[in-house]
Amino acid sequence: MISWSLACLIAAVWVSRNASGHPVPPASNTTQRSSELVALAPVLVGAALLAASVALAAFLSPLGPIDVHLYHMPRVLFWLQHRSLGHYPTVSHQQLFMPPWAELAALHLYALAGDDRFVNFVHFASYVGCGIAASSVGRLLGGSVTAQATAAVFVLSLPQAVLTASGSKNDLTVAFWILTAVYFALSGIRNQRIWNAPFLALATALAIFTKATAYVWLPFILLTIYLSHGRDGAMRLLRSSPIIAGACLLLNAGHYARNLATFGSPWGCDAANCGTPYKFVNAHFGPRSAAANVIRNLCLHATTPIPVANQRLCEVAVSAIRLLGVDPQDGNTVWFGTRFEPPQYRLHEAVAGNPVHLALIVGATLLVACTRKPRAKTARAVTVAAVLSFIGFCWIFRWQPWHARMHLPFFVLMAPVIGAVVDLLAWPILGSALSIVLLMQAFSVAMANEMRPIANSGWNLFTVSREQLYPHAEHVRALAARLKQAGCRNVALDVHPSFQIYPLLRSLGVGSSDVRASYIVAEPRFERWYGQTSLKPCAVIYTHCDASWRSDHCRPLGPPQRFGELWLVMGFQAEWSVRRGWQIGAPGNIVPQESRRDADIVTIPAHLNADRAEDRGRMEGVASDKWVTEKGISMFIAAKKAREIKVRLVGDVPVSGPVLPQGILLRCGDRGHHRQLIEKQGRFDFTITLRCPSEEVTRLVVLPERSFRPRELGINDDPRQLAFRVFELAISKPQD
Amino acid sequence: MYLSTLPVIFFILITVGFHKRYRQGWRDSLLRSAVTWGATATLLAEILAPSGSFTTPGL
Repeated sequence: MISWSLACLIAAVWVSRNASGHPVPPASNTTQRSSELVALAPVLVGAALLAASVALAAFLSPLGPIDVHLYHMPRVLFWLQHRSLGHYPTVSHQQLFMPPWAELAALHLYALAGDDRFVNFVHFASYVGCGIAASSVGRLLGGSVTAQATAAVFVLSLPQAVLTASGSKNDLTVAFWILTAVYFALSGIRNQRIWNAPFLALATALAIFTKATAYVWLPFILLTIYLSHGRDGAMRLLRSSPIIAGACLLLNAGHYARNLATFGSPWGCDAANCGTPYKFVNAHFGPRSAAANVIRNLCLHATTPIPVANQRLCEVAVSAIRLLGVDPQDGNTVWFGTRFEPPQYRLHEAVAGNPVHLALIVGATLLVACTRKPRAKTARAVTVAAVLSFIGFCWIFRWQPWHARMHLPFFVLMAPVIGAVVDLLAWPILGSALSIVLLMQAFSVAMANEMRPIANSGWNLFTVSREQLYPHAEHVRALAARLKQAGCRNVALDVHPSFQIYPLLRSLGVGSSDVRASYIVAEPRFERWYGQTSLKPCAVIYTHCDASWRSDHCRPLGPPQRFGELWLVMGFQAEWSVRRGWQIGAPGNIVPQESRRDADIVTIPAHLNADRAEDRGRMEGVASDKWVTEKGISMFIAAKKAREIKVRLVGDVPVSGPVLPQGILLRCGDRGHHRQLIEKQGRFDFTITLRCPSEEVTRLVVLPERSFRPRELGINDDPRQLAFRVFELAISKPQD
Repeated sequence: MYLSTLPVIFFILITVGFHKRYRQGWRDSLLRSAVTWGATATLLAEILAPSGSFTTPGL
C-alpha cells in the first residue's frame, strides 16, 4: 500500500512538471477523421458494449479455469503467506517455475483488496489492451480510421479472447505484451526516435516474464519486422538489442535465480511437473514433424457449429499428416496422454477455436501476398512475422488439444493486417460490415461462455453465486469452518498435484490471515528450504484417500474425516521433517464421520429429491444447483444382501452439452454395472435393474462417463464427460 | 477494497504524463503506461519481497 502510494505521488509530481517534451507530429486530416469516426459509431458502441459484457462476467465470476486453481493462484497466496517471492516446497512445480508476471499483477490486486475480486481484471485489461494495441499497429501500417477500428474489433471479437478475457489465464496477457512490443518496434522504425527502445525492451521483457511461449513468438516476430526494413532495420535492431537484453535481465533476474537454485535451470523444468512425461517441447524437430504440427494446430480452429464439417476438415488434416510420412498420433510431437482428434464446437476457453477469424486471416494473407501496392509493404512484413512465429511455435511446442488459446499472439498480430486489407480493397463499408458481423458473433460467445455464462437458460452468473462456482466450494468451506472451530492455524497439505488447491487455500485464509499452510514434500530439492526445522501442524489435509494407492497413506496420524474430495486429520501430536518423515507422539482421535455415518446410509426403498438439501447431502457429488460433479454421485445404501436393486434416475442434459450419445455408468459395489446411453439433450427418465454384492451396506455410484462414444458413429470421442443435472433418484428392490 | 484503486490511479497519472510528454495520442500513451505499470509492479514486488514487507494491509 505504502509503495503504491509512493509510486502515485512520484507519478503525480512527474505529471505536474511535464510540459510538452517532444514536438507534436503534424495533424492528419481532422475533418476526414471525424466523419469516419461518425460513420463508425455503431461499431465503436458495439465494441464498447461487448467489452462491458466481458467485464461484467469478469466481475461476477470466480477465478478459473482449472490451471488457475492448480498453480496460477496458489503461488500468489503462498507469496503472501511467506511475504516473499521465493520458491517453497510444493507438489505442483508449475507454481514455482512458470514465468510469474500475471500472478505478480494479481498479487498486488489481491494484497490491496484483501480478496481475489479484481484478479480477473488483469486479463480483462489485457483484452482491451490488445484491441488498443492492434488499432495502434494498424495506424502505424498507414491504416485509415476504419482500418484501425476493424483491427481492434477483429481482436475483441476473437471467440478465444472473449472467453479468456473474463478468466484468469495468462494467454491474453502475453499476447498483449507481444503486440505492444511490435507496436514499439514499428514505431521506432517509423519515427526514428530512440525513446521507443526502452518501451520495446520492457514490453519484450514483460512478455517472456508472463509466459514462456514468448521466447518462441518474439524472436521470429522482431527479427522479421526489423530485417524487412533492410539495412536500416538491421542496424536499429542491433542498437536495440543491448537494451532489450538489459530489460529482460532486469525483470527476469530474480525469477531466473530462484529457478536456478531450485531446479538447476533458469527456466525450471521441461515438463509440467518435473520428471513427468508431460514435456512441453517436441522430442523431434524435423521439418516433417513441424509441418504435421502446423496442420494439427490449425485443425484446432476447425470448430464450426457443424460437426460433420469439422470432421471432414480434420480427416483432410489427418490425410495430409500421413502424406508427410508422420503418424498423426506421434508421441514425439503430441502432448502425452492425448490424441489428435477433430475438435468440437465449444464455447469453453480451453478448446474454443477461431474459425471465422482464421478464414479471414487466410484470405488477407493471400491478398497481401499478391498485391503490389507499396503501402502493403509493412503489412506484408507483419504477415510474414506472424506466420513464421506460428510455424516456430508449432516447430518447438508439442501439440495439445487446448493449444487454441496459446495461438492468441498469432491472431492479435494478424488483426492490423485485416485492417490494412480493408484499406487495400478501398471499400470502407466492408470494414464496418465485417466489424458488425464479428461483433454479433462475439456477443453470442460472451453470453453463452460455458464457464461464465451471462445469459444461459440453464445456469448463469446471475443465478449462481460467485462463491458457489469455486471448485469443491461447499466442502472447502466446511473444512475451513472445522479448522477455525478447532482454532487450528498451522495446516499441512499432503495433496496430489492434480487437486485444485486454490479454493481450499482461499477458504483457509492463507495469505490474508494468520493461518499458515505448508506442503509435505520429501523432495531433495526442497531440503534446503525446510532446513533443520520440523513442521508441527495441528491438522493435515489429504486428497485421494479413497484411491487404493493412497488409502494407507492417509491414516498414520489417525482416522481422517472426509469433506468431499478432501480428508482432514486433527487432534494428533506429531512433527514432520524431510529427513525423518512423521514422528508421531499421539495419533488423532476424530471419528471418521463422513466415511459411513448411519445417518448417511440410504434405506431401501428410497426416493431422493435433489430439491431437498437433506437428500442432496445424502447424494454425495450433487451440487446445490443439482449438477452432478465429475466424480459422480456416490452413496451408501442399506441393500440388506439384496442381489438386485431397481434404480430410477430423472435429470436433464443441457443443450450446450457435449455431442451425444454419451453414457451414465451406474455401479453397485464392485459387482454389477449398467451403462445407460443418453442419446438426446433435455430431460431423461430411466429405470434399470442393477446387480449388487451380497452385503448389508454397499456403495451405489452414478458416474458421468468420459469419452464414451461408439466409434462406429464415425465421429470422434468427445473429450468431455457428460454434464447433467439430477432431479430425482429412487432406489427400490425389483419386486417393489 | 478501495486500496486496490491505487495501481489504477498510478496508471491514470502516468498515462496523462506520457500524453503530455510525447504527444503521440492517447493510445500511444496507454501502451507506454501499460509497459511502465508492468515494470513497476514487477520491480515493486521484487524489491519488497526480500525485505519481507510484502503483505496484505490487514495483516
